[in-house]
Amino acid sequence: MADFDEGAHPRDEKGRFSSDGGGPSAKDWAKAGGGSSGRAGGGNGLTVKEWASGKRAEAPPGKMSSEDWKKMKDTVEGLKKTIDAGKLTPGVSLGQHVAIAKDMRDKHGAEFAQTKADIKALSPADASVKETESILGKLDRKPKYGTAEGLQDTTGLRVVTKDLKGIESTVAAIKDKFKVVAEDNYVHTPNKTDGAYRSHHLIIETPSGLQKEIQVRTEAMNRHAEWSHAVYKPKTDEEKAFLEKHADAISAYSRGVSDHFHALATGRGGTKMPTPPAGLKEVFGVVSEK
Amino acid sequence: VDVKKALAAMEKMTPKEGFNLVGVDDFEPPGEELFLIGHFDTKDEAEAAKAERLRENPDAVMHIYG
Repeated sequence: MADFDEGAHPRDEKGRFSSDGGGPSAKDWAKAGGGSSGRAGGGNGLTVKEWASGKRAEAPPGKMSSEDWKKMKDTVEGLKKTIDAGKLTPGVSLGQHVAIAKDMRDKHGAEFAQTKADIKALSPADASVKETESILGKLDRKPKYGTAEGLQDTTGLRVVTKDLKGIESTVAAIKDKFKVVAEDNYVHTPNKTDGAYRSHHLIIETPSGLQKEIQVRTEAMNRHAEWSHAVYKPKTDEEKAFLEKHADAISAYSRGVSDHFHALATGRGGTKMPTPPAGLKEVFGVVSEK
Repeated sequence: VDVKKALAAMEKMTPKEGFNLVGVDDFEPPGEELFLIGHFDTKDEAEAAKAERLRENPDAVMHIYG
């Protein structure tokens, strides 16, 4: 549990905690012309990244409101250590990171309906904007992004197609309609993290400058991905013990299902649906073949 | 899914005492889906916080670890 209230002791420009409540406050920021837009004060239109690199005249709010602190103190405990280790954009305090994350969520939220409609015009889709806590958690796990402005997937969209041709045509349509700034194709070679996850990821940039992730996958890939989340739901110690005991077998089953679906989709054949470890169906369920 | 990585992610989110309300971001890659929402002394407090967030966002997926 965090025991330090940065809301009462924001950092100064050198990153030191102040004892007198110094540092730019949300009020100062507003007075300078800033606000919740994420743009620098005085209407100069600089982003937080630009501000952090020395181009920005005014800082975003450095103080967390007591309400934010109450809600976020557990979430940001890890992030505070990452800031202290100098892994994130220099000069941006914890309070500022929270303010930027909330601001980015607001911005993505404001565009969400339009983006979702644009993608839905291409193919049925699922979509969401990350929770502020998820944004901050990702920043902690992957400090290379600097601030929440660097994240490319605050908005996530998902298109589920019938087959591989559907993925190809959807990806082509997305490239035709949007500016694509990055791409990861895990359709034929699964994600190395678990050796089973398959999908085609695209990062698009909308005219407003926001970057968003679109995941394109087949129905079979989607069934497998949705089942994978089941392992996070052990409700009892017995279920957790089951996972621990059969970890390798369940992981192998997951890879087997993924490979089998890929073989079917490509017409390669030569595989069969793997048999799940005994008891898996009753505890966490299994992936249905169709 | 790599179950050992999933177990490690759950372990990281499980407090030594009390209970953590943990969100699931299914747009994140395998093993990185969990994020901490808050820590609570009792399970009832965690359940109440979960219910409150579900009122705001009925689609949210959350677990209580502890």
